[in-house]
Amino acid sequence: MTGSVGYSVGVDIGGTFTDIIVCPDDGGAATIAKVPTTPHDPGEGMIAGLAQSLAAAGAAPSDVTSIVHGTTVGTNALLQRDGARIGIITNTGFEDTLYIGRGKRRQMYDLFTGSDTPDFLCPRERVHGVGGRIAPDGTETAPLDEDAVARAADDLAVRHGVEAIAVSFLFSFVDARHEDRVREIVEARHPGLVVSLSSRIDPRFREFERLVVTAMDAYIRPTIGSYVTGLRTRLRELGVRVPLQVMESHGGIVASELIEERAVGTLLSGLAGGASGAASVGRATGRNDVLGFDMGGTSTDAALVVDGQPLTHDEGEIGGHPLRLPTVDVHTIGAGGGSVAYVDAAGSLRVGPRSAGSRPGPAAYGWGGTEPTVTDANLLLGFLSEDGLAGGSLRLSRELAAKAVRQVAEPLDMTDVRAAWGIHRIACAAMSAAVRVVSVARGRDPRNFALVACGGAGAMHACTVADDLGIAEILVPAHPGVLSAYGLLTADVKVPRQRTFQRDTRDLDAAELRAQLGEVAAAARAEIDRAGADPARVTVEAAVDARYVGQSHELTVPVRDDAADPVAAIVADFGDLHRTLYGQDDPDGRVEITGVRATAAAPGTEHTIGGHAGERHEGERRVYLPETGDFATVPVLSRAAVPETLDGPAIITQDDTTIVVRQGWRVRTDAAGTLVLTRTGG
Amino acid sequence: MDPVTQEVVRYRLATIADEMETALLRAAYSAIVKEGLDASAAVFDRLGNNIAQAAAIPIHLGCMIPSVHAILERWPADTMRPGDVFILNDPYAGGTHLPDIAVLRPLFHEDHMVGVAVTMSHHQEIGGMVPGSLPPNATDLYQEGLRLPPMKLYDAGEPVTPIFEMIRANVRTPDVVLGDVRAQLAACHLAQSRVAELATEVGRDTLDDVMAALLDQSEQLTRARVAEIPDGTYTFTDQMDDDGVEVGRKLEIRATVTVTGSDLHIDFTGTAAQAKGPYNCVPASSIAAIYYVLRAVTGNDIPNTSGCYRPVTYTLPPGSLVNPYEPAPVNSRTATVLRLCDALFGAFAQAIPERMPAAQSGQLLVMNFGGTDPATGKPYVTSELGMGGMAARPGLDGVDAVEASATNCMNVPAEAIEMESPVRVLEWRIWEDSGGAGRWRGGCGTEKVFELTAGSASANYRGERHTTHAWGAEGGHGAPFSRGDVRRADGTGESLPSKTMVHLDAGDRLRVRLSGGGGYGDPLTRPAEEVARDVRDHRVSAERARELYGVVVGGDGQVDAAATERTRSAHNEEKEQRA
Repeated sequence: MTGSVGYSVGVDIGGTFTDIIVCPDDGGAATIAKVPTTPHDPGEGMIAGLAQSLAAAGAAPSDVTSIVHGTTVGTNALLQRDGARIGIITNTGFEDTLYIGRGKRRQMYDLFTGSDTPDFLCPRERVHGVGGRIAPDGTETAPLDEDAVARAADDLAVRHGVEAIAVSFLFSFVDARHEDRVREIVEARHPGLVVSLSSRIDPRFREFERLVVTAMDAYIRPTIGSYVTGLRTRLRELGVRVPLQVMESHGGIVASELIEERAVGTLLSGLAGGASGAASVGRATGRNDVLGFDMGGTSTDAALVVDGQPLTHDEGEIGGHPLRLPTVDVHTIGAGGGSVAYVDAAGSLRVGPRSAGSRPGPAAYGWGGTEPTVTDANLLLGFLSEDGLAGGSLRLSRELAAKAVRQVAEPLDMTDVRAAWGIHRIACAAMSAAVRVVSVARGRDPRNFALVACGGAGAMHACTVADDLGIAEILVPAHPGVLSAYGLLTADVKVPRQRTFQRDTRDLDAAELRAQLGEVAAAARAEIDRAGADPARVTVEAAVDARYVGQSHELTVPVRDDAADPVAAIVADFGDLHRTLYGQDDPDGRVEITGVRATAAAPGTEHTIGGHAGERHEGERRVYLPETGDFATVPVLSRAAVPETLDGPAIITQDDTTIVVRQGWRVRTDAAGTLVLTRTGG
Repeated sequence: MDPVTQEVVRYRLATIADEMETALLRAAYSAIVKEGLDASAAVFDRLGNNIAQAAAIPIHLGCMIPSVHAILERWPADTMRPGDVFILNDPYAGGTHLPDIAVLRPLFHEDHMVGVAVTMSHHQEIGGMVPGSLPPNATDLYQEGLRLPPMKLYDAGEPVTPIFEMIRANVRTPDVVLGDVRAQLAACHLAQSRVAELATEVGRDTLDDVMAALLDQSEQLTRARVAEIPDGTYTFTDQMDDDGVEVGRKLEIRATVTVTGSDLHIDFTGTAAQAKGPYNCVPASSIAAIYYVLRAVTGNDIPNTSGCYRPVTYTLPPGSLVNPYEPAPVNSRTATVLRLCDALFGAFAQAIPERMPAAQSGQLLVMNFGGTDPATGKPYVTSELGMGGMAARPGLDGVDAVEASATNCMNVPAEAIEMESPVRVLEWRIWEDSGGAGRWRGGCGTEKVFELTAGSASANYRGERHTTHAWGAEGGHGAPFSRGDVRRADGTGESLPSKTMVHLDAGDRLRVRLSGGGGYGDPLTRPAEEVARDVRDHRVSAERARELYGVVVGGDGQVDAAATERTRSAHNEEKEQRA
């Protein structure tokens, strides 16, 4: 079957399912597969699924022109606290940095709250302090105690049997010589031990944050290393000839070899795939500014995409621990279809934060759940049908849902249906609040954005959320359930690098700025050459972190290549950005730079994964209309049966989601196969 | 009120308060706002009730309520105009202490006032006798800085320029202070547009009704939780080291909690008379302690509105530490608020011991190093925020090195201090043996050593728990005293009192040890393996393990079971004999 057409492949391994998209490079229809994840060895399910999908697409493994993978292997190792046994080498006197953390507690009123620092990464007995000190200006004020380093390495390797050592010294981001020397000593004495240096992983100031990222790298690197090595072997055996690429937390992709040197970058790649997918969906319809709205059973992600790319920040978190890494700007709330509704002691209706989870799940599943959930409410309202979810493989019980919802309807003295609408409406308010966090609170007016509705439940709530936010357009991709895999397929190869460089802009001349930016840009470019990018297509964008003298939060300001006076341009652009985000600026204020950044990128390939080849059927059912407060008979169409334009109210069904088109919305299908909902009134 | 509309609008109001707070913190200049998160934002109704508050730090709970009342008393709602903005910091007219400046803006929908936006930020400087405006030796309010009575800062959209000029002329770092005021104005402005949008969407009358319903909701939820506490009167007494002026004279804090059904009365009768030094709490500060403890006892799932506080009445005796007469100094009231919380928790522990921890470390060392760097010739002020440990809880050890009470600051990275000043951090550890021993161990505090590398500098050392203990509960031990020591470059040394100004020359070292929290339950019942782990982790020394826990840990870090059994039975016999 081998032909001249190449195929691009995206593979996203989630907790339950592995999603695979095989997309012909000539623009033909994509093949999509969802196969069960094999948690004991995720590569096994992936390879089997890949072989199967390639066969279904009529492609040979040798036809694969690119293969991009989103992995949660590191994420899971961290969340399940099942990473490598590591040790830490740091300055004498700073052995407790990991446990001291930053002192602030997340739960202010909970007298039983636990530690917020990721102290599980390494117990105190495997931390060694060694002599040696670098001053803030890079001078060595005490030489490295190399004998102590050797003793520490031996103790960690021999007595404690560690697999990896994290090394973090004060001011190593100014001068890394002590850290480099530690690596030499460890590698000479204990070859094969993984060594993570803070000066390589995150060369920026604030010793706790730098240590955490470095220790997390050491903690997951042995696991990730053997995983990608094994995967590459299996792919080769299957006959795939192109290098394996992997998505990082910032939404860019790199060659899998690079993450063996810096594994921590993959920790939030799951979120990144979704944000990248929302961006791709938007681009395919010609919308570069979109808000991703990915609502599932237990959680909802809201993502900000500007100019066709997911925005990133450095304030990610994992398992409740802050993670200072370039990460897509996604706000996650623990609410979804499984969120439980209740009446509080004051007689008010509340939804969440508790969830019925996947087991027992909503009452309507008949798996033993008795509490009313958002999904139960949606069934009573007619948004979902009893024929159920996942293409009819799971039937829903209206009787059980009604019984559950009655528990809140009775104390509120409401009908079941009225209570169900209340549950749905309040869930939408929580969703709208989440989308506000990544738009309004970032100085962006959501009315200028399109909402990309994904996940099993996103399109069921999207019209109400859009109405809340004044959004006039909703995009529902053909396959909202495989958004992350789609994001992998279309992401850019990208390498962001940054370093601390502190200077008042009044004491900074253009030549020095250019030299600093040049160094970090060269580092990013050297890295992207190894990341598998076509050198001809690489662009490098420079930026600085800036703030008013006296502030401690920085804003990232792009550096304009064409500016006659780049320093003056930075000051002006910083003021504009400050005003956009915080509603004010200080025209007389002194601006200082705290860091320089460069992002090398090579654009990915745009793929559209085509229209919807599902069954065509049309029918109708009784659906609750909040406008009248009553049920009406509403058309129900399969996605393939959607005519050129269709006005709400209507329900559109497909295997992996249900789209509720509310009154006042009109729907059409565009060339990319995306359903575009536009507000017509109301 | 339709419960669905109520809940939908509640989400909106909470989002508005959060957005105001983000704008305040992100654009902040003051170290105490940036790292200490010492700023709050809220939306009030037009009657002066708090409807939605974003507080990053519990000490601001409720403290904006008196400021709104002060404004509404002088400028009744029907005299307010769109674009008016008010300012105040006077502790004796709605404020807390002078560095906390409140900026308030009535919120209008068309020509109708629908609410008030309120922000409060702790400013780095407000003038007075020392840089930073936190003089440990102040004896009246006039020494503490510029006093701003309730005033209009904007009149129908026009700035009242003389007030800006007066602030500029009276503070040492006017750009920083006015920068933070600008952030407060921006947050209030943001609230005006968001709340007006909301009023347009849902209707002004509905918004009004929802606000009233939210107050009722919080009240009912709070009452339901208070009703679960056994009726009775519970009294607890704790102490502060001294007020920094009358050195060595302990100050008693006496809290009496009376629970009657769903009503609570808090009475501080018996608390020390107002202090000469700056540790007095005006009512706005004292009620913050009451409200924080109330929320910790009743649960954070209750929406934070003025309704939460309706079930509570309080007695703050005039002329006492918790309600001083003008012009008593108040700048260091945070230490007092922390002790008020300890005393209140101690009282609640008698009613619900199974839900209450031992004493938190009860201190936050906010200290500024100030001097001139000989290398650059530039003056510097560097802030340090030092933390102790969390109390042990029934069923859980305390967390080490963490904020655990009415404050919730972030510490200052060693690298930040060293980049800003010729101060070097030589050590920063968890202080071994600083957590109270118990079946559940108190969290340990921290030990930090600073060295001045060049020039000379002063530091305002404002410690606590140097002569009073963070107490244990249910047989748990208290934590040791906190300590400060200076070792001079010439080899001599001195121990610091609880509160003092410290002078340092190049080569001098300041060692600060901040105690942990109290222990919970008898330490002789702590499983030996947990004690051995503490020894391996340098949380408990082998000596204290034997002495306080009766556990013998060998040089290999493992329990010596036989020796432990002997030691524990000897300890138990001793205890019985004493009994």
